[in-house]
Parts: sequence; structure tokens; C-alpha cells
Amino acid sequence: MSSPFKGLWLITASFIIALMLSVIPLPTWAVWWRPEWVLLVLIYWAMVAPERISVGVAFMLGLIVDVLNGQAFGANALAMIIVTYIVGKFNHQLQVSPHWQQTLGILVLTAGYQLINLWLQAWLNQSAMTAAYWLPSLTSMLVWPWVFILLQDFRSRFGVA
Amino acid sequence: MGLRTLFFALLSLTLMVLDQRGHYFTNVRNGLSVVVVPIQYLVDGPVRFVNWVEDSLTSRANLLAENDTLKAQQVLLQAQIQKLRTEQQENTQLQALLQSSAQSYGKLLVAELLAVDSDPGSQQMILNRGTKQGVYVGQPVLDASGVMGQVIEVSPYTSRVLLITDNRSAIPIQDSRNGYRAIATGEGSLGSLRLVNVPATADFQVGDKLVSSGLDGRYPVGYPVGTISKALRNTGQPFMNIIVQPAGRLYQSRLVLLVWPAQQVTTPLKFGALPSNEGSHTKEKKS
Repeated sequence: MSSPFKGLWLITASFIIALMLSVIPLPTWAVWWRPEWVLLVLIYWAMVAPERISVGVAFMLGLIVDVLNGQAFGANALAMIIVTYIVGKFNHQLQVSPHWQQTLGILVLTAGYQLINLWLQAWLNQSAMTAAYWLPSLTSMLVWPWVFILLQDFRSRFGVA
Repeated sequence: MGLRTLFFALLSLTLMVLDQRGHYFTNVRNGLSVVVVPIQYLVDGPVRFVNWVEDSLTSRANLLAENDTLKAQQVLLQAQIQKLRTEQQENTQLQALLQSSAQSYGKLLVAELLAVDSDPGSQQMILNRGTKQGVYVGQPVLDASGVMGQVIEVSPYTSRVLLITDNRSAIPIQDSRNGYRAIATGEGSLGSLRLVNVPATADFQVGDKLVSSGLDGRYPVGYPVGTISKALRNTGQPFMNIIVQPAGRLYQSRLVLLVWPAQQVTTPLKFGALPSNEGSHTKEKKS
């Protein structure tokens, strides 16, 4: 009954909003604290709709993020692919685990995503490293419950996937 | 799924390497900008709208228009004054020989920053001018107070500028006090510049004003780059440790200037040689 395009608008809208949030200007003190919105939304959809949102989508999304941020073309793509693959593999465990375990899993996934980006940047001699680099992993973990609940709400309301 | 992941992973790595080595994917990146540019404008829009509402409540529409024109003119005039001051200094120091070439201004274009922040580890900004207005990769960008950076990517309606404080940026400078030359690279999120490979015997002091030397053929000559804030010689080290605070208000200016380096003007030789007048921005064929 569900066609592959049902609810595509919700998924696309959530990605667009995540992309917007990733570039919205923040006051100087807050710049390093920005959560990885695009990654969080990707993880959510990869968790609940793994057949539709898998590595191909992650690849395209990563390329868009690379162009948006002016980073190496393919860096975020690779990092997102790996995270999506892991979410796909451990999909079942992630879905049934208690909330605190899930949140911890998000911390690990986001830190892993940042680590891959860091390696790739260092490989291309583009890294500028401060301790504050890891703050997004922390804030992503903190906002995850809200992202999860919000998207679950919209998803059930519009009967998507 | 593992196989597909591997395929995409290898594809990403290939893209990264090729993009860095040969910039083969500029067209693809520009293609993706169709998705990216609306997002940037979507984010910039509300910020701009709020600013506009503020303005409207305090003045009328034609005062606003006049205000904008005056601001743009002011940026242009201040830029010209900076350049003239350096030229004056240079003239009093040079011997009065016949000049065989002189570099003057080409076109200037005012651009605005889009209110978009990206990755705080890299110092970049997005302008609302692109290839439709003739912006090209490698073009220098200035503000009223000094050099800001150069264009590294263009799409039809926007362009991306690498600020001189980014750690991938290097600009050749000259000390305006004694003409000593060096290269200033960015220090990243610290917002300062560092002079590299300056021998300990060099004469750089705190407070020296540094200007662009134009040796790279990219940045126009004589533009303020920054002021030395630290100049340390450590005993036993062959190089000095010099930190520079940039002159341009890199994180505050909303209006910036895009510069086209002008024609090289040569005075005609007595026996009737033709002056060369290729526009030097066509020389900016980038690899």
C-alpha cells in the first residue's frame, strides 16, 4: 500500500530544515556547540526506514553537506555512509534498546562521524584542531531525544513509512 | 548492503582525491549548488528580513536607498584612500626613474555577505555575487579596512571566499616601514596571521603595518593586511615567531569589494612599440 514516494515530502523537508540549521548564523560563543543536525536526521530515518534511507541517500546528502560547508568533496559523504552502514547493521538493537542506551549510541555515532571527518581533513592537510572540535558530539547527543520525538510525532501523524 | 557501502565509500575517496588534485568536479559542485544556494538564501532571508524591518521602522524607503548607495560609495572611497596612502609612501621612497609599468585599478564590485555560518574550523564566507557578475576563482576580496581573502569557488549567483585567517591561506606581504617581504598564513579560528620562515635577522617589530606585496599576482599591491602584534626571537631558533592581527574587519564587515586587477599600462617606447593591454584578469587562467 505504501508507494516509495509516500511521505517523501516529510523526509525531504526534515533534511532541508536540518541543512538550514547547520548553517544558520550563531553568536560567536555558540559556534562550536552546534549539533550535527543533518547527521541526526539521517540516523533517525536510517533507523526507522532502512530500506528507503540507506547508503545511496547518505552519499548524496554527504556531498550536499560538503558543498554547503566548502569542505573536501566526498569527506562528509564517506563519514555519513559509514554511520548509515553501522545504523543499518545494528538497526534492531538500536530500535529496541532503552532510551539512555540509544542516546549513548548517538554519542558514539556522532563522535565516530567527527573522527572520520577529522582523519580525512588531516589526510588532505586541511585540519585545524582545537579541543572544541568535539563539542558537537556532545550537543548532538543532548538534542537527540528531541529530534527523535519530534520526527516520530510527524511520522505517525502523516503515516510515513 | 555491505557491498554497496564499499562501492560508495571507494567512490567518496576517489572524489576527494580527484577534487583536491585536479579540481575535476567544479562543475558537479556547481551543479549541487542548485540545492545548496537556496538553502543559503533561505537562512539568509529571515536575518535580512529582520534587519529590513528594523530599518523600515526608523526611516523611509528613499532614505534607505540613499543610505545603501552612500555605504557602498564609502567602502569604495575608503579603499581608494588606503591605496593612495601606500602609493604616496612608495613614491617618496623610490628613485625617480622612468616607470616602465604601473598597476592601477580595474573594476570594483561591491558584494554582501550571506548570513551563513559554516564549519568554525575553516574561515570562509559566502558572497551574493557569482559568475553572472563576472566573479572568478582567485579573485581578491577586500573590505574598507584591508584584505579579506580570495574567491575559491563560484556558482552562478554566489561565491565562496577563503579568508586570509584560514590556515590554508597564504598572502605575500611587505612591511610598510622597511619594505621587508614575507608570507603571512592564517592561524585558523584564532583569527590571526603568522609570518612564516622569517629569519631571526629580519627587522620586524611590533606595531609594523604590513601590506600586500602583490608578488603572487593575485592580491592588488599595497593593501593593508595587518599589524604585527607579536615579534619574538627565541635564542637558538633560526626563525622569528611573528603574529599579525588582520586589518580587515573579517568577522564584522557585511559589505566587501571584489577587485579586478587592472590592465598593465606600459609607457610606449620611443620607437613606437605597442603598449601591451591584455586585461590581466584573463591571465588568471586557473589550473
